[in-house]
Amino acid sequence: MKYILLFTTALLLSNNLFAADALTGSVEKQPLNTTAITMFLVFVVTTLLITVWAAVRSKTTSALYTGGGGISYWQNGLAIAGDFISAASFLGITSALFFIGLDGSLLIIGVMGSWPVILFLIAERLRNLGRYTLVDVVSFRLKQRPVKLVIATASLAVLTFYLIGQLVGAGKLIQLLFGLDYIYALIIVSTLMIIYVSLGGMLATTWVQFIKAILLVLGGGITSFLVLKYFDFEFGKIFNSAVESHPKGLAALQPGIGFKSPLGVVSLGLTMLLGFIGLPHVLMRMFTVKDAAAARKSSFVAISIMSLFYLMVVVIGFGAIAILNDNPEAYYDAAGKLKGGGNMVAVHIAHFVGGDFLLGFMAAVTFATILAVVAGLTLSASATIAHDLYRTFAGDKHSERTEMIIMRSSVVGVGVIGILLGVIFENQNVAFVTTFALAVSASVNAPILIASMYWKNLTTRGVVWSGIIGLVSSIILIVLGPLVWVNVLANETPIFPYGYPTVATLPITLLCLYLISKFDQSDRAKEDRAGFEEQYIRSELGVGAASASDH
Amino acid sequence: MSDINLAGVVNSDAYKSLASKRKRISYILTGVNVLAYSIYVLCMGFARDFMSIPIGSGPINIGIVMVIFLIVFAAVISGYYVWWTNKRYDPALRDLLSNLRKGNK
Repeated sequence: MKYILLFTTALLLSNNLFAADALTGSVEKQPLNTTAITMFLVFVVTTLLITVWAAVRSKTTSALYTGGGGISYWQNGLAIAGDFISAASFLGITSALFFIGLDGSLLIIGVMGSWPVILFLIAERLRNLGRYTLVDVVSFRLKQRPVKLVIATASLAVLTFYLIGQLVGAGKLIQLLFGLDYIYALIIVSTLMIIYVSLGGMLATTWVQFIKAILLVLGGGITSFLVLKYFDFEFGKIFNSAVESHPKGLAALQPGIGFKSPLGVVSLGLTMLLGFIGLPHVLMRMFTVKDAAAARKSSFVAISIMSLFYLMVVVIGFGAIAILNDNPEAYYDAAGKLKGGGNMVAVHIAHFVGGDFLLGFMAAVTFATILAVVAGLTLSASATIAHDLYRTFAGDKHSERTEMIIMRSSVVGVGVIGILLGVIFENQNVAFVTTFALAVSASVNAPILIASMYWKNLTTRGVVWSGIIGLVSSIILIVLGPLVWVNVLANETPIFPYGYPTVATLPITLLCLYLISKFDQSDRAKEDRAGFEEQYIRSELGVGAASASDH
Repeated sequence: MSDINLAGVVNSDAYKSLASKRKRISYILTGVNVLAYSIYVLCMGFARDFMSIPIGSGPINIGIVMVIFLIVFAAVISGYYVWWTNKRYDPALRDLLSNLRKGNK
């Protein structure tokens, strides 16, 4: 019997601030689910055919990294939404609303709060300034090698930790939904991901994410419609029944049953707001469309889809409180725990309102969604290795051919390392890995990216030192915090009280960034500041931005 | 676009006034969005009684209404920004650049 926090599948869930015991569940292998497997096979065959088609079109590094910049804005918008409405969002957030009621909404509003900021401040400038990665943008007017090394390291840290969380969660989830062994689940996910990404590059990865997003919105739409129907389409009735059925009664609709510490809530809020802004694999999608206007429209499509989807999740999550608690014999085991573990709320609901068919459909979509998110992470990591690191450090020795080979081998490497780490972490409490990814993104990537685009006085030295300090302080505070110090190292009380260190690490990074840049009198600093005007022109007018739909 | 002096464009009064309009809009919208988000997060942390005040006769309270409002609000302000940049900013910038190009000949 393995006890894990299944919430770690989630990109945003995963922290000890949750009422951990309520969300921990045993993972039992389910009997083979044939409807789900058939539907999943259809998805795999379709996406593999798309990969073959995409592989023919992916003969250059530009095509591999960004699909040649020729992906349409609405397709890209759906793919971006797909990165967020993952298995995590559907299963994790539905479960969060089910167990901790209103507190679960923090995880939704975190995403909805960060995206408008990406649209208003980042999307267009990013598209105008960069070619393939956010590292391109940060290093635009700064000294290439040191800045790229530091920001690429931070990006790889975010991506790797994120990937571990996804893979371990994926293995458990697939075991649960499909009745497959953990290790086979891991191997299937990694193999498919390697095929999609190394052959089909960004084009295939976007298509996979795009198809999955449509399926998930469809599944969520049907489920939430049926839930509403169950409550006679009366919105108020959902909440009335929830209060009657939730063990905590009215408190379920009030803040405080999941997140006790008020400052913990603030740290979580800050981590999400900035953490989602700095995710390399999501920002990379801005480079797949032809220009800044398309990047802007993609963001809006993404926000609209997410908005719609999260409204469905609110209906499903609060609806589940009454439905599952009123049918305990079907969905609870003898010990009074939710069958299959804490993350199964959405799956049980799909089963209740839509029978075996909807259950199979949702299980297949969940598998697909894990695959799609993992593929995006791997693509971003290998682009960082091949483009930001190899290309920069090879200098004159660089060749397009070698870069392609390095990119493809990185994909295989990431896949193999992913399987190994997945095995190592199988029975660990991996709640800290996604927290770490988001915290680094919030304390290093996001503030440095925004400063590089908007603050003239930013210098190479400022970025390098604040990047290193932000990264190191995030590691130290997570290790000293409850997630590692208590949960993993089994100490009594944490030295640092909050699971999310952002409340401390963000001010540290910002202060270093400001002071070091401000007092930097080196020759390089003069060049860095002088480069701002050219960068500004390009970020505004987009002239010279690699516009490449004509590949 | 390479036939015009870009630094000249950016420093022209016409461009500056257009760019400052756009900056004002994106900064104001960012501010409004971050403010709304902060109010929500701070209330979830520190004003729990306020969030629990019921609205109407049922159990629906300020917290729930705020959640639904914010989910919709993100899409609405984003929509406004995209509408403005598509319909106002982009055409104005295009006109400005083509005028400058004509002026150069």
